[in-house]
Amino acid sequence: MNGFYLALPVFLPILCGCILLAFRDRFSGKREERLLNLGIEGLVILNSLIIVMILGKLYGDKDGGTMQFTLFRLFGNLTVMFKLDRMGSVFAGLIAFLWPLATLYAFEYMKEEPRKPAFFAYYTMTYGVTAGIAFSGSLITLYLFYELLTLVTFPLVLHPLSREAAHASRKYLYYSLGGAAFAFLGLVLVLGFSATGNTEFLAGGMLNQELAQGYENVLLTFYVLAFFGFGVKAALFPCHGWLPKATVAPTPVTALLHAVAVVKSGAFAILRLTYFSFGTDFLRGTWAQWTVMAAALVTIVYGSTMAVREVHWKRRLAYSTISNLSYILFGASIMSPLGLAAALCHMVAHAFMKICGFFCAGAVMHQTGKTHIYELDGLGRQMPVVFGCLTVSSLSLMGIPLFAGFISKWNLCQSAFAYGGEAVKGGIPGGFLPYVGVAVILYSALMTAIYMLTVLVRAYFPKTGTVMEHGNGKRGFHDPNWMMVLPLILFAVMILVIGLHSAPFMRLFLSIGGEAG
Amino acid sequence: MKLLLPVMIPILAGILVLVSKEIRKNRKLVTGLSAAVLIVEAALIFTAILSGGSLVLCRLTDTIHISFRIDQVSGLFAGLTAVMWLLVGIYAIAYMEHEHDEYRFFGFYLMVEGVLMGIDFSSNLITMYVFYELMTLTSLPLVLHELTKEAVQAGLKYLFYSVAGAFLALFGIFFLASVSPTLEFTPGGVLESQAIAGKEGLLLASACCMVVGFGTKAGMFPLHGWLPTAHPVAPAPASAVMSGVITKAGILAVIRVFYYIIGPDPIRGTWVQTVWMALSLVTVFMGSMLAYKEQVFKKRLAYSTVSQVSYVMFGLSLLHPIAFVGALSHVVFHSIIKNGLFLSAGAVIEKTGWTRVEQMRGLGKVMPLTLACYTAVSLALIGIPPASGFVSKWYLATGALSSGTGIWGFIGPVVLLVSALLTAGYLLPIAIQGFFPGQDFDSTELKKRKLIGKEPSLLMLLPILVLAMGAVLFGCFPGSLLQMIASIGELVF
Repeated sequence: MNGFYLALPVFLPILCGCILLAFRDRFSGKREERLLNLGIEGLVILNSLIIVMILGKLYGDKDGGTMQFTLFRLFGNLTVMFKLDRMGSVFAGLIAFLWPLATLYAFEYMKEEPRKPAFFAYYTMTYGVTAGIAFSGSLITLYLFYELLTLVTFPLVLHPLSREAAHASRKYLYYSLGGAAFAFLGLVLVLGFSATGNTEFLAGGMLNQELAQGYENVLLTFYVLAFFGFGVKAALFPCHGWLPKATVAPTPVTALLHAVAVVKSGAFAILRLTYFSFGTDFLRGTWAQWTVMAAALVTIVYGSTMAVREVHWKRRLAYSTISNLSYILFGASIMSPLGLAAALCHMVAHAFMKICGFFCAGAVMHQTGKTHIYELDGLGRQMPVVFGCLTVSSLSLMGIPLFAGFISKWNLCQSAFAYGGEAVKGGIPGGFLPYVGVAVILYSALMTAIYMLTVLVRAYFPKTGTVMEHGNGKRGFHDPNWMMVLPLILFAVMILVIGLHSAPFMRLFLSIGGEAG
Repeated sequence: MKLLLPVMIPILAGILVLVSKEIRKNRKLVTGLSAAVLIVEAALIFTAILSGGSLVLCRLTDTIHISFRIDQVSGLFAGLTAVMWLLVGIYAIAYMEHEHDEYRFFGFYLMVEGVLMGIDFSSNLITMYVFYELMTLTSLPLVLHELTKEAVQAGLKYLFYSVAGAFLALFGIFFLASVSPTLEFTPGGVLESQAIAGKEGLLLASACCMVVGFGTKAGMFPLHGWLPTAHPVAPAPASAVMSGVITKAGILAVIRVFYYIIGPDPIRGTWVQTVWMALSLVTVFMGSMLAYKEQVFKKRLAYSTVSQVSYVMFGLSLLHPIAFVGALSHVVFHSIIKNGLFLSAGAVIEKTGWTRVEQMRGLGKVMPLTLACYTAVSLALIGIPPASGFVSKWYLATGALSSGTGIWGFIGPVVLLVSALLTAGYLLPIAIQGFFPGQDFDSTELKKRKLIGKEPSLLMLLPILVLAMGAVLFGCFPGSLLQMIASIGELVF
């Protein structure tokens, strides 16, 4: 297959988004609005189909693995290029599944909001940029799209145009740009030591081992800097501050971007940096590994503890995202094949659970206008579908078996025990950290139980009297229409599918881990 | 299929009762359906136990299966659950008439039975863990039932303690999965010594986590706090099965882990065993002491559960065949006795509204038959021969003395003895004051409220009578039960 197809799903949405932005004043009437919705949904579905086709090619052909496309040459061997491997295909497949559903949900959610065309223009452009991150074949390409992602999502946070939104979006911008600057340092250094002179991703690392000799500590320092740099988007403590603030954005943005696309891009970049750029052989057992692992563990504890304290529902979910993203980073920092597989598994599982959780919160906001946990008494009976899906998502986040969350937690802990056993046996200082990691994950699971289940208990078993007090009994709230319910149900089903039958997924993840770990 | 039905039928029936509008509005339909399901379920469970077999339900990953198998331990616990659930269910039909939201009670009551069958029948650690978590979630609404502020707080406390315990245990499960060749239950354990070489410290730490973690459900110190809060706020039938049966799920989990996965040998003589014995003895003593001081009747019984279930824990911690017999027989006896006690307490609450011990003077004039049954099960719990409690305590004490655990072999029986005295101290005064209120007792108040001779209805009285008879008769003829438990003991040691 021609590598050119790789560029299609990246530039098609970006181009259409730009066109829409240029003609955004033309869509004012009711009929035009419907046309706009249909057009966007069609485009997004088409784009997803292209991605699925490309993935089908990758897994269908034997030589599909070499699909690549060079955009342009910067200087020397340094090129901006797309290349699809199995690792990228996981991320691409994930967003291809989520985007059409999230867009569908957004139409209904944004029905009453102003400035819809601009919103959907940026929303669609983000799709292309995220696909670019999934397909990027070299660190420089990844970096380019990473910066672009900040720029196209910035207007989405700003969308409500309130003082709060302005503040949040500015914070988001500064954090992300600052983080990217650190990542840039890492990029420059990798380029200097790269075996190919390009920064092309190679499973197992692209460093020239001979060149690197004698510069180990410099390289490790810059690895840690770049880890924290990309970690800004993955909400790594102490660079997480923007994420809870950014919940002022409309729910489709919080759900799709700040629980999946943007934050997972950060995590994905870190996986690329660790397993495909520096290489695990180089990093394993060094102080750099223990530093980043400790940072991930601190973030897990911090995020889940703060989530318990938070009473604003969406902010609570945002803190939960902070802690769950660091599960992925913890998996990444184990730096073994199983660690990478577990990280990818949690990347996929968390995407479904958290987008489901956010969409439930959004549906409640949309139907009732309630934003805080203490207002939710008795809503479970009135919105059975929404809270049914929320139950699935909550149990999965907790990590109860039969749900997706358990599978990834299981794999994370297995990889931690396996690696910890090796490290302790080898007498590596800091080798006990993976064990601490398991304890931290279980602590976080307990906190998850507290912050998710209190919501459910309130909704299903209201204390006597509280229902009337919040007006939840009188006005008869009900489930939203199919455009919001369908995505929810599909996500809940996916959580159960992964939870009950994870073998094919895990085989794919393990094969990726086997190549790169 | 035979194994799947007892698990699925009550769960599906429970969901049906909860979801269907037609059923939940019609009280007769709810109770009729529940009674039918309970009877059918009991029959299914016993056919399943008698026919045995195994079943792989689904594969979560290449290594983790959800599968069921029946062995003698499952048979013991499943049979016990089936009988208790049926008896208490019959009682509940009469009792819940005066409560609101009956359908919710019965819906979850049925679901919990199915989930418990899942725990009993599970053939590996993961399956057991799945149903263990589900048990917490499905039994939570029973605690929340009243929906008062107190009940909701108690429910949340129950939830968080249970989940914390389960995750503590999960640490151990994660570790065992990383060193053990299989997580299938095999009598005597599956660990290979070369796989754990160099990781002994971690193994013991995991074992300790699992004792404390699964001990949460069994109300063991230090995570016992939820039990005296949660059990009394639930409706009486729910408190009965929670104290009598659900706490035993924690015990079953401990048995499965220590006798079927780790095996008794790696633990014997280590600090984990010492900690385990110490914690259970502390709980035995503390529970009795707090029960003695407690004035709210149902809360007193809940503290008594804390103490009595740790008898079983102590028996298991000795890792000795005789003590093992004592422990498992105490599971059965305590279950019968505690259900009897809570059902009597429920009868008192339902007929008179009395909840505190000092109000219950002259109870013998109100419901002599119920109080007689109460007295009989109390004597059994104290351990007066020939009633059942004596048999299990005898085995526990002789097991402790011959277990070779040094000083603990002596401390144990002493604590058990002191606790038995306290048990007499907190249970018998109610019977004595009830039958012999003294010369100065003025029964005009009772007459005014028309309470004299007001036994509960037949549906409530019958289960209490059956339980009281069971508590006494099992003590007189414990032979076949003990033989069966001893044969389990031969397999695992």
